[in-house]
Amino acid sequence: MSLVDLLVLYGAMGLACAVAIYRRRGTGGRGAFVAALIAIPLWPVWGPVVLTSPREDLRRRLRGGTRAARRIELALHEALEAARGSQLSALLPAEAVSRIVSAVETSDARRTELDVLLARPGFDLASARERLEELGRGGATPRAMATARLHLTNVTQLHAMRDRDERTLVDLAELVEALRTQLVLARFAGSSVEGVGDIVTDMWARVEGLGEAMDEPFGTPMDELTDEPALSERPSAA
Amino acid sequence: MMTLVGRLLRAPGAVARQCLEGEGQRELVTTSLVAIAFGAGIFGAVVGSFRGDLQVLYASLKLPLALLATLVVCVPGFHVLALALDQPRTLRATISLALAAAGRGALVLLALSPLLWLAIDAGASYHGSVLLASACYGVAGLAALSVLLRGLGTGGRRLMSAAASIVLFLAVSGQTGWILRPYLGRPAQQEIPFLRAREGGFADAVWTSGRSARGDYDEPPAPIESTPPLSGAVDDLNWADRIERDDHLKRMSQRRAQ
Repeated sequence: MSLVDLLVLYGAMGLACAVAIYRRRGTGGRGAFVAALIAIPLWPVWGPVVLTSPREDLRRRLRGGTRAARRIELALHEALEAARGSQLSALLPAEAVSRIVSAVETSDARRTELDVLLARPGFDLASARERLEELGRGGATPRAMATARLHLTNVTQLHAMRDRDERTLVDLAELVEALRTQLVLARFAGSSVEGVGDIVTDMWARVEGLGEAMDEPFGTPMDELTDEPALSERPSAA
Repeated sequence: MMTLVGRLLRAPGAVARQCLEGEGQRELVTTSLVAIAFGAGIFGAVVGSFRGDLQVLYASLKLPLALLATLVVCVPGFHVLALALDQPRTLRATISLALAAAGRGALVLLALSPLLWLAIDAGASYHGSVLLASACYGVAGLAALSVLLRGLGTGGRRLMSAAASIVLFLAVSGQTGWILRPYLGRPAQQEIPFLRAREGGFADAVWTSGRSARGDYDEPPAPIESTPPLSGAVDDLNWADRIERDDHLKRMSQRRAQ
């Protein structure tokens, strides 16, 4: 394939991408035309940005979290099957499995809700930081700075909660899968259950961690974010 | 857009976060593309001013073209490298990060343009101008790298990912730049070509230059006695070519003396 062939192919792809972008922008107009025009020479970098949306990131995250929850559920049921009818069943009773599945479902639902919430413009971390910096540069009042700082703190905590929930679910999925293989091995090889006991202990710690994340108090009182005294502490005008 | 330009220059960390978090990616990509076209275009015009005339226009078109063509080729590679090195992110995020880094670099090039212009106007030599332009590119590269590194997160694989991306970028940009020569243009040239005739590739040139630097030439030079005087009388060569030829002849004389 010569350089000319390659350029023709590249141009054809660019044209196809331009048409897709123009059609996607249902209203048409000048903006759609310019976006389509840019796509002809730059489709490998411009196309994915225009043809996908940040919602794709959200969907991907949602799929990731739900996948971890499904992995946990599946592995737990397989572990339960492996332990059934043997001395190992005492380590993982059916009631315990139900409890873990319930905690995982609750945590996954909360993480999904947080993901949807944090995808909204008002919960953007970068904008909150930028707003605070702008206020600082513009010499805003301490009260306005404190409000912006409170907003940033809250958004940061929400993002941290979401990330922690996601990490805990993934860690738990790894543990439960390890437990399943250990139980299957112990059942067929007749090996010791000492290793299984350690994993079960670790797994319960993680499950408790899921619960703690939901019970933990969050938020910073407004008065801690400003140098001004609280309203109740201010001397009343004589 | 000016807010985003200011942010690109002042807050590389915030820009890198914006690339990864998804909000406002499209605006950032658009601003970065404009910055690349404008910043590299102005710098290209200044580089082309060494030769003047049409070279100003050609170089102002070719510098942004070289940078954008490099990104078009490299971005899928950056994304695959990130995935292979356990740094999962969306293609959108990879594109935004690469373009934002290049946009910041182009803005730094724009800022350094007056320096190069002053040097050329003050009579800087061909090789001096090349060196100064290369130094400006180096500074712009460091500015771009600061966005890239902040976007690669933390952990041991961050440096590996950055190093792999840099190697890929340098290889592709070297070849792209080589294909789109000349940028400065030599004053003695009668015609100003948009592109120079193909003479192998970038890697060949580096290899040949390395060998030449060690005094190892493929073609034996003409006998020293039959060469014209070293200065002034070679009408068909410009001064830069004469310097290269003089160096070559001196090295050959030294070898023969040994």
